Amino acid sequence: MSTSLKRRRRLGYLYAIPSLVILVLFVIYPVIYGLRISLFDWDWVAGIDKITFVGLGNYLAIFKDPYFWNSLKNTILFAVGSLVVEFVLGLLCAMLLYKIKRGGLLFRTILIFPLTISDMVAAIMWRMMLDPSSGVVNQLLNSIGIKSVDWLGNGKVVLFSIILVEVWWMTGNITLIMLSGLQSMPVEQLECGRIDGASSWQIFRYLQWPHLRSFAESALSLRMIDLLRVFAISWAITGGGPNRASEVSQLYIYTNGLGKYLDIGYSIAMAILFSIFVLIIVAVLKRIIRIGADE
Amino acid sequence: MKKNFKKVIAAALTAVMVAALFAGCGSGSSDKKEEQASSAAAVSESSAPAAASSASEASSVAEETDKPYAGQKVRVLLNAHPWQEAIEPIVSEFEEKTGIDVEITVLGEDAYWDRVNLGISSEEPPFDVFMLSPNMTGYNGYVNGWIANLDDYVYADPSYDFDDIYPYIVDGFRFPDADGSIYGIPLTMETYMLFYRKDLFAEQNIDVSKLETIDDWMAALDTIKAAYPDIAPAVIRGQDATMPDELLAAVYNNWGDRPYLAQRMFYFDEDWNTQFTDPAVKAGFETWAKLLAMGPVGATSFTWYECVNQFAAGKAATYWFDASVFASTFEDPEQSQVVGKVGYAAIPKTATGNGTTHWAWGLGITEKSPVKDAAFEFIKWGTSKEMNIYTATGTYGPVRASAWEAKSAEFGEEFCNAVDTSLNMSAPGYMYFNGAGEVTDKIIDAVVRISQGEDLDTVMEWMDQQAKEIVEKEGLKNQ
Repeated sequence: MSTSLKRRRRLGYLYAIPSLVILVLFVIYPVIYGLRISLFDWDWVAGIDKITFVGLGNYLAIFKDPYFWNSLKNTILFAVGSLVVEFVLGLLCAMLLYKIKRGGLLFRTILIFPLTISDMVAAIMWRMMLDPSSGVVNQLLNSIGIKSVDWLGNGKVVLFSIILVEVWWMTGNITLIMLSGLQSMPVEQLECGRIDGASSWQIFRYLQWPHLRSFAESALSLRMIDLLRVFAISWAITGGGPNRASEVSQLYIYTNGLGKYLDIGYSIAMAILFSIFVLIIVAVLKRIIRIGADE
Repeated sequence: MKKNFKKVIAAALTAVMVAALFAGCGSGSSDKKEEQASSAAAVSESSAPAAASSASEASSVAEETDKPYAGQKVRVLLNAHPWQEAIEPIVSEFEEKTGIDVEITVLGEDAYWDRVNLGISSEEPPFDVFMLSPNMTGYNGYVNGWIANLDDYVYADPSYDFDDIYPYIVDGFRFPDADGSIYGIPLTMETYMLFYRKDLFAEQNIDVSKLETIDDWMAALDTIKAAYPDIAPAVIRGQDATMPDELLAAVYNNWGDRPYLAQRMFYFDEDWNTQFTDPAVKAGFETWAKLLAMGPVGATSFTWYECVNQFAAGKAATYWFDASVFASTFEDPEQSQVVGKVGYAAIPKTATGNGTTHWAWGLGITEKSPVKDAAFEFIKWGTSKEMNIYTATGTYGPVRASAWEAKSAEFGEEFCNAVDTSLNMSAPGYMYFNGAGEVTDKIIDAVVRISQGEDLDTVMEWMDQQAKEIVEKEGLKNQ
């Protein structure tokens, strides 16, 4: 290796130092610290100074905790339900926006608007709109002769209600990604298809979709991670109720930790286990998408 | 190898997204204690400058005047509450009088307790004064030394007349040890009572004075339900984190004269044996669940906020086991459509007893506040005789004897009688011990399940089992 190449490499390491310092301070150290604390019984209600090593005790306790598994089930149902609806709607909206010649900017703005709102604001707004007696949703239903629905107090309906809020809030995200995919495709290919007599469906299926697949993969993976990390929508709309029917994992972890019980060691153990689940679920999702692509 | 390394990095990055939320909140292991202590001192010194420097600038002038804390800044965290609404617009008067700069932050109750818990536990609390109640926050603050002891302040100024505040309310704000030091100054109290629509009961020729028991009222509510299909017979808190506090009143109403342990209330005996299958406890839960089932569509998810709105909008005929403070909303023409139509009564008796509970809001100071003296000046002003009378119009629950005397005529005879009767049969409704938060969450689950038609005995046995597990997990039986 030439001396100048060696010098350039050394210089490269030097440039990387600031990023490495930030990485160590804000990523690696918190992860190691979190892993360490998850091995301790650290209950602030008993006293912040009382900290006892319990090994894998917290992790073993999680396996016996039905509320954790219930929250994980709710999280997965919420994430999968939201993702399917968001993707279908988002793709449909992207196709329509791609096709329309006039008013595209207006519709795009309408679709993007919810994205500019924070999750907490969206949650509070929808909590008021879904209020069973004074909310605008039931008032609209009543005006067309449909009886009021208990959107937030009925355990069988509540998960659907929070999926509705999530879909309203984040569908624009998928629309934007898919629209940029459509717009990045050369128009000539589509024109060739049309000249060869392909139907609209055939153009979508054999020309546009193969091009869109990588965009779909990114959109689905990013949204899935985001959906699994849901917190504010559950916390601010239902508080996890009724009877924990809408309690999601992050809310349960928060309640056990700083939110209420102050059982810090246990809540961090749950957070770490939950992170592993997120990783597994996203890996499975990517695998499914890849199998679809190979076929 | 490279691929594996990428996977490890990806795993670490994902893990940190959740773990860092908790891990970054401060070091607390015992081996870090010394480090913490020294950093706390450093923080205390370094955070004081804003207050200290401004204080020193002003001190030369202030020492000679009646404004010893002029130039200091007191940060106040308040829960959205009628007391806060009354006090906030006139804080400038206090600032002018003392030269203290007051910075107020107001939060809704859901977010409020989270912010308090996080704030008081931090090395540098983002507030000096905060609203608190005799609940787990006070207990946690006591165990960890996060809340200041106010014993030295309360009698320092005789004109403050601390003894004018009802002692049974002050007692709720004492640390649970032999000294019983004061950690909070009461500013408003509330007892749990019954609100009803006088006009609806009169229209149905129901003589409320003859409704002596809960069963009498339940029968009357059937009449109301049949007569007014668009009005819910009853409204009561559902999926509300604070509901278990009020539920204590319903249980106490069935408990009778039997003894119980104050901080464990009716749910645990002296050996930490669970008592959720006790007939009185079951009856209290059943009454609550029945009333919840009588509520409007969605009542299961109601917090006190929705309950108050429903009743004030004329959509419910009765409002059960809730705070006397809400009378201020019901009698305010800007917030209520039922002004002058609301009747007030103490909770009616059951076959086994008659009782209710009371609660209070107070003001406390964070232990690590660099401006404790100035902070207490603010508390002293906010809970003074004059201010207690002034804020009583909004709270309907002053804590001073002098304020009740001054405001009785304004509150009305019926309301005062209902409060008086309630307080005469009332016990403090405070439950705190290690694990109380988990128990109260399970209580909410149990009440919702019963209200949705599940068998009372089955649910209460489940509740009993859950409580047993919590007590064992927390190691309370071995203490």
